[in-house]
Amino acid sequence: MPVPAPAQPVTTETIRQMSQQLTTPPVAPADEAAVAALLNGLAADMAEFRQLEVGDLEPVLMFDPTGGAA
Amino acid sequence: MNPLLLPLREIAQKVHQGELRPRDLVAQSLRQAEALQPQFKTFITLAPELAQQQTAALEARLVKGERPPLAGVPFAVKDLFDVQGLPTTAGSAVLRNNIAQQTAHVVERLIAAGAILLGKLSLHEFAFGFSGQNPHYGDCVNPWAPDRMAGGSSSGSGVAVATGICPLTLGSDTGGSIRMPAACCGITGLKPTYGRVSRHGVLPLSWSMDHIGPMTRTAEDAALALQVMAGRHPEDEATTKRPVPDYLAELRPNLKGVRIGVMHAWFGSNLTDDVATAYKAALDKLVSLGAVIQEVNLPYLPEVVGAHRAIIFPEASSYHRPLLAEHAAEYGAEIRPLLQGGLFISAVEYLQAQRARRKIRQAWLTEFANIDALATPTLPLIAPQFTDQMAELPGGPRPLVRACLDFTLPFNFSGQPAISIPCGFGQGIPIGLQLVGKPFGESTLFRIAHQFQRDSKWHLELTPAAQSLPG
Repeated sequence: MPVPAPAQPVTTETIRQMSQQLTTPPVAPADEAAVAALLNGLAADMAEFRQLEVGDLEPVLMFDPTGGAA
Repeated sequence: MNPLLLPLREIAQKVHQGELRPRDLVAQSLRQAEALQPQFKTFITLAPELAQQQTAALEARLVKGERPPLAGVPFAVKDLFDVQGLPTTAGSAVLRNNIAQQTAHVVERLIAAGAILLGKLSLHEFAFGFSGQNPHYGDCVNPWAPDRMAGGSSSGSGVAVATGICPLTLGSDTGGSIRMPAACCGITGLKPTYGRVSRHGVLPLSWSMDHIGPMTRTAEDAALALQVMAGRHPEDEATTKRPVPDYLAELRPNLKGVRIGVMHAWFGSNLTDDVATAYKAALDKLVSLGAVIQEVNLPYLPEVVGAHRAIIFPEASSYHRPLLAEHAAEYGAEIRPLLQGGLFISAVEYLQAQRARRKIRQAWLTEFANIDALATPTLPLIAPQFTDQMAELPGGPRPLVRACLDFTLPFNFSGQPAISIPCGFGQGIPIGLQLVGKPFGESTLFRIAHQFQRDSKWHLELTPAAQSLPG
């Protein structure tokens, strides 16, 4: 399946607005550009993962690398 | 040969027999550590008084006739491991005065086994990076070439073994942080199966990705260390109740018929010439020892890279949120945006990644049913220079973080055991071979790595600093 083009990039303004509501403490102005760049990089790295079908599988929360087959 | 370069088993035997005195071993380790500190910034805290107390206690046990398996072995731990009364800084100014009230369970186990703690080792700040650069305590540099990375985040753990300060260190590995410095420094580093070793008393980066493991000169030493470290601990509920195998007994069988998987498309097709040559030679060596090489296809590797990110960033940010609220300005400029960025990843994204984890782990268990271990290079290139931003690979430039972690982080995601052993040199810099096993298949990894090391000498090459030890 082709990976779709990334959504509109996160900007420093996006970070400023979101961090006022979502993060404690808000991201310092000096870090806004770095956080925006990080999130854009993560979005690129996560593009293929976001297309993965996981059906009705439950999340791994108590991690057992054998899948309980021990 | 200097006793600090001997196998752990031999050090302990000589101590048992009275041929070596623990106090002399520790004194020599401390001298080497102090002499090399200005150049390598190996330690954040050296603890000579604590080491002397432990030495006296061990010598009293020996007089009583006890023969602990790591008697007199000097060791040191990444400064994420709590040791009661010493600061646990995690390589950050944020925790500069964080005096531990407890001792990590694995540290207690090693001390009970006769090993003597020298102090706390350098790391990438909060273990969130791979270069070993640290703005608070100094950059821990590669012992083969000081303009290159020692690898991280367990940089001091790699350097301490490679420079002959001590033959055993502990590291933690969330995306490759034991295996990468092992490869860059030319030593052996094991990331055990998730749940095999307790994380109690170890400051987390990402609860579901963090693994604790030994870093040593040889696979045999790593096996002996894991023998002591492994086991259930009630304060780490992820630790398994499975019995701990006799790892040393299982080193012996030859490799006749052992099935080694390779996956050219992800792990073999985009390597520098140095690494490609060493990797091919390592596979040829395994074949000459009786192993059979077969191609495998682990599905979903591109997806794993993203899912790993979707898990470690929120887990790290969740842990750090209260610290960020109080001490944001004290974090290094590289780390703070990473931890702030994780606050923006949604809970849905995190849970999707943990659901993907179940799917991918099942698919890989099926693939691993056909092989005994997977062999890959640990890194596609030799230790990068500190100034590098991109990896120059045959397929074109690649972001360094991807180049350095894409071969190792998949097995944090799956929780499988993986070991890095030296398998060659390029431009005078070590190259690592990664062997990945089935869950709780450490014995198989030790056996393959040990037989490889019995028939090769890469792990015996000494850094200039180790050569400076008195003979």
